[in-house]
Amino acid sequence: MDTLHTYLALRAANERKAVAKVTRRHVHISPRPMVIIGYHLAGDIGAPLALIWGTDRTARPHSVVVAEPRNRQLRFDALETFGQSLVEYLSGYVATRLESRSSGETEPVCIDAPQIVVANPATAEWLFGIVGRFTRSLSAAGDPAPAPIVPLAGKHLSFFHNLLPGSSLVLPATEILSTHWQTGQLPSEDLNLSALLGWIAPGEGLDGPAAARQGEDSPPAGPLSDPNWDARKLSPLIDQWHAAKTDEAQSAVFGELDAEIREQLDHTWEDCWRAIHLVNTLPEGDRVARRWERDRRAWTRHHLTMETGTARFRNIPTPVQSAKTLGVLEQATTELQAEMALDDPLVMAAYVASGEALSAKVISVDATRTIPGPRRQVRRPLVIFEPLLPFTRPAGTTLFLVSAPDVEFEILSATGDEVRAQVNKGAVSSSTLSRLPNPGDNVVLSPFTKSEFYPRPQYDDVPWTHRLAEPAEEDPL
Amino acid sequence: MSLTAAEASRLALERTWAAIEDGACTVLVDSPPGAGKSTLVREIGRRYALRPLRQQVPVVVQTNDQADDMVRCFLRDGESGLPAITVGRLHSADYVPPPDIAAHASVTFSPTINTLRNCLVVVATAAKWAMVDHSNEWPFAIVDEAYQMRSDALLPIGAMMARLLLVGDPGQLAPFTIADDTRFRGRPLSPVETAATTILTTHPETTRIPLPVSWRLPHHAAKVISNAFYRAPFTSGTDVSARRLEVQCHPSNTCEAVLTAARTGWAYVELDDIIMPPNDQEAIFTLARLVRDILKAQIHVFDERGSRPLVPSDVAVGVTHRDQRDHVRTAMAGVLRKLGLPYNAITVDTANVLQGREFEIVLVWHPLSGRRDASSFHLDAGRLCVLLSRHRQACIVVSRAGIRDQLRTHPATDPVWLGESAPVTDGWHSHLTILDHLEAHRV
Repeated sequence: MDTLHTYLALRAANERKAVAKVTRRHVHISPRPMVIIGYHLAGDIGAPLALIWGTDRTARPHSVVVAEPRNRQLRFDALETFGQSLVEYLSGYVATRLESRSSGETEPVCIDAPQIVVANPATAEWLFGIVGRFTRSLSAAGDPAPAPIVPLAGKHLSFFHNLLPGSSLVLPATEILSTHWQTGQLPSEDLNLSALLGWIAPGEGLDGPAAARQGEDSPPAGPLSDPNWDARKLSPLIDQWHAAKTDEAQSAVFGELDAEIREQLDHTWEDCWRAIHLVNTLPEGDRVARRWERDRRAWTRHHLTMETGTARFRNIPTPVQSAKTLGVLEQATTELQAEMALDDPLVMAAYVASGEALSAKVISVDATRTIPGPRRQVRRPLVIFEPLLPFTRPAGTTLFLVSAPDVEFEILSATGDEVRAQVNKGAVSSSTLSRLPNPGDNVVLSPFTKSEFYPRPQYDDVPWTHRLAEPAEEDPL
Repeated sequence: MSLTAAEASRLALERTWAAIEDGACTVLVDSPPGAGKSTLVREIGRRYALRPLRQQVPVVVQTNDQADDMVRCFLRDGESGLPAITVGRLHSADYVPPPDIAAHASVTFSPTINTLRNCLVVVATAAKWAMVDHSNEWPFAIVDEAYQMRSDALLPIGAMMARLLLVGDPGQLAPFTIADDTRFRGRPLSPVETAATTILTTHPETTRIPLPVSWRLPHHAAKVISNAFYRAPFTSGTDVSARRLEVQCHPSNTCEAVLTAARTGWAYVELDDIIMPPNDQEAIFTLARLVRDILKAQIHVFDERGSRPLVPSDVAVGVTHRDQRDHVRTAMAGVLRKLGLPYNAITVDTANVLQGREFEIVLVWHPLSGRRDASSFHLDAGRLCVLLSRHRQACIVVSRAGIRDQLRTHPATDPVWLGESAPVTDGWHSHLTILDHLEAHRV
């Protein structure tokens, strides 16, 4: 944790209430997200016990409950109901319009994309990773045979697994809350949605820690259920369901089980919507729309491959695919860090506090200064700053103007009360000189610049260096 | 063993060449610090390129500095009587050739491979080779620093080059990624593992040749480093009397550390046991003071090449974090200014950047100094190994006391990944071995 966030955590602990970590919202919030909450059987991640979902906070959520989670027929029946609902929700996001790319070509892109909100990263990993993976390749010829919608929904779920940093297609509630607020408890305690909400929005007459303790007492947000509840309620009801002799008796037990499970999950349903609402009260960061556009394009590609039946999901990617994935991941990681800082002065403040960025008042600007270049004299304006916080980066450090991140400065010298820097790029010709700050301006220079596009090498075949030796072939008979 | 150091090195080189001439698809040379790795790369490159077929040899390095150094050494070889060879330096569009080699007649600089057709050796970074049109083909190529190179960077090399000689130092820092690499962990041929590991996985029959002699490390350092960090042992190429520093301290200076380092090759400056943030001011101040002492003392360097006075470029400071580097550089600029030297007269950098470089005296800010925990990043044996194996004469380590307690009380918290092999050297063991050694040189 950096100095600023340590300070904010101490302040939150002292004030007994979470404090804002940002001034802007750094995720996209859909007008109609789908909230999904679920439990699986303890010790069996492949056995869903119950799911509740819906797109309307005020309506009663849909639900499926598997009375015997080990029974594959019942499991597939439940996943069929859920799958139908999911596919129906997703089908609302297939309308496209022509949009131009940076290369100038136009292509159809989905006007909007779906958004799934889950309670925590563990639910996302379970639902999109595990459930998606075991359902997406189920065969219709299996015994018991799943309805065709089950593998179809599995492919969709798999799309939502392992998204890029900065993607808003899936929002785990605990993650979006801790991106925007700092609590006074440990990061691992922030993984409990109810406790985290307690710190951020304690109810009437409560402070953060008290509300968090209360939250910890409420049923877990999944995907694991409370083991005491398992022993006291779930296990006896499953036994009763097996023991019921008539259909009527069995459905009575089922009704009881359904009500018990809803009682466990309803609380989290409300918590997820509260999280969305809280985050939505913040004004959206300027660069959030760019990341959502990337999400829409990703969704469009998935939608098109599903349409044409060419969607493929590999359990183990080839070395070539892994290398491409890693390249994209690295770029998205760097971009997200830079974009959040450039969008939000409070995020940038952490870099100013650590000395990586410079917050300063402009003392003087010499726009006419020239230095000898490789061939001729080149214009390199000199700007002298008075730092507001100590700045001790060495000469040669490269920084960029936050208000115009393509204007590049090189630090020439930095002492306690004066920083001298020359402009190397972005404002060195007569047409761009107006982008220089003026004496008296308060400016911030940071290490973040506009993201550069690196063309990636194109090849599809796995070269010899990355091919595992084939096992020796057996003699043909 | 009746072989001299020079004979043992020569033998390793000949074995490497024999394996290549034999048609081996992959040959891996494991080199300890300063074992003549780059000499071997140039010698093999020359021999292959100067065969009657005159086939061009691509040389893959990891950074532009390494590429420039490689070119420089090829040119120097040509001037010192070895067969002269035309060298191509393939580079990106915004690269500016360093002035000392920019105008040399035997080297051609170009951003495109097609203009370098006549060069017998072409040097470029792995990133630049990846941008070359993949329909190009070469029968043989050399990869330098194969343990610093990430497996994903080897893909385009494999797509264009049919056989490889990989050379690298297995004790150094492994490559890393800024991205969350959870999804790749424990997978066979993960893109984050080293190029050398990938080749050993896909080609288990690879001929592996260890270089047995470090020409950089002095006698009193080779054994310590070999024991603490290397599976294949190595020795120093110079004997006890070959290297020494003669120091004349200014009477007003306290330069006990410098004197100890000159006498024994090591000095350990221990500060009070306090938990500190990474930019520990006292450690920064101590490093700056030590550099001032070194530069103000009149130091004479004696080695197998002769004797000469120590100059500022012979001195480097190695740190762990970029943040520490910046703070030390700033403090150092003040010291250097008072001595009338330019602000960048001595090198201050992180372990990652110092890999592959050498100096006469290196000052090291211990990676675990002042920390509360021993995280895997700070415990990485490769990081400590790089920092402690950059010097030809002496190494001075600055640290807060209490490292032994840190190592003893902090259990490993990193997850264990199924399918991932454990590192060859254990960080705990390496750190304790080194600490035992350093404590004998405390000042």
